[in-house]
Amino acid sequence: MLSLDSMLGIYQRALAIREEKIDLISSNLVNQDTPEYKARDVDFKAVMAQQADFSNTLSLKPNNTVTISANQNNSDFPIQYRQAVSPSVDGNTVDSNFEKTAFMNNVVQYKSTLAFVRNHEAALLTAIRGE
Amino acid sequence: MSLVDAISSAGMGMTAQSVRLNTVASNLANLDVVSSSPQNAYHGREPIFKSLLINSSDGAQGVKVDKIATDNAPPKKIYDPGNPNADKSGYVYGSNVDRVSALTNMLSASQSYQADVSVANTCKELLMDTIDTMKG
Repeated sequence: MLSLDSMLGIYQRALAIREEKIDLISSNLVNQDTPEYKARDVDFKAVMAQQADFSNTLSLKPNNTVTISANQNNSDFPIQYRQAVSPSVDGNTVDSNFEKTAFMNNVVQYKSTLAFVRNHEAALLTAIRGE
Repeated sequence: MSLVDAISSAGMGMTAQSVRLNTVASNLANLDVVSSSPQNAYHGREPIFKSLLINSSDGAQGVKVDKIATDNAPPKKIYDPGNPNADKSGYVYGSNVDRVSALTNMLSASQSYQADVSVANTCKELLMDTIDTMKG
C-alpha cells in the first residue's frame, strides 16, 4: 500500500529544495552590499541524490514497504558557500548578475514542478474515480 | 515557510537600502556646506550593513544597518577670504564628500533596492501559485 505521503512523489521533495534555494538566493541578493557576507546555495542534484531511499517509493510495487517519514527534517539541507568569482575588497562574494539569473532559473523550475504536481494530482483523481 | 522568509528578508533589504539612499541624499545636500574649522566641516556618512539570521531552520538571512560610519577623509580647504565663515588665514572648510562616488553609491543603492522589490514580488507570486494548486 502506498502511503498518502508518497502520493505527490518526488515533487514534494523537489519543491522543498527549490524553495530552500530561492530562499538562500534571496538572502544573497539582499546581502549584496553587506561586508564579509559569503554567498550560499544548496546543490539540488546532491540533495536529491541523498534521498535515494525516497526514489524507491516511486516504484509502484504492491508490497512496497519503503515509507517517507513525514517528520523528515527539511531544514537539514547541506548549505554550501559559492565559489567566489570576483570577491570584492570588503569580503563580499555575491555576484549580483549570477544570483539574479540563478533566482530566475529557480523560479521557473519551481513553477514547472508546481505544474507537474497539478498534472499528477489530476491523474490521481482520474485513477480514484475510475474514469 | 521559506518563501515567507524570503519576502521578509527582501523587506529588510529595502529598509537597509533606503537608509543608504537617505545618507547619500544628506551627503549630496551638504556637498557645498562650508564651515570655519576642519572639525565642524561636514563629513560624509555611509551605513555599514550586517547580515541577520531570520530563520535558523532554513538559513534565511536578512540584512540590517549595523552602524552609520563617518568618512574620515580630510575636508576640502578652500581659500575664500571674503566668506564670513573664513578663519584668520582666509580659509573655509568644505565637506569631504566626493560627488562622483556619492552618485555611484546612489545608483548602486537604487539597483539593489529594485532587486529586493522584484525578489519580494516574485516570491509572492510563487506563494499565490502554490495556494492556487491547493484549490485543485
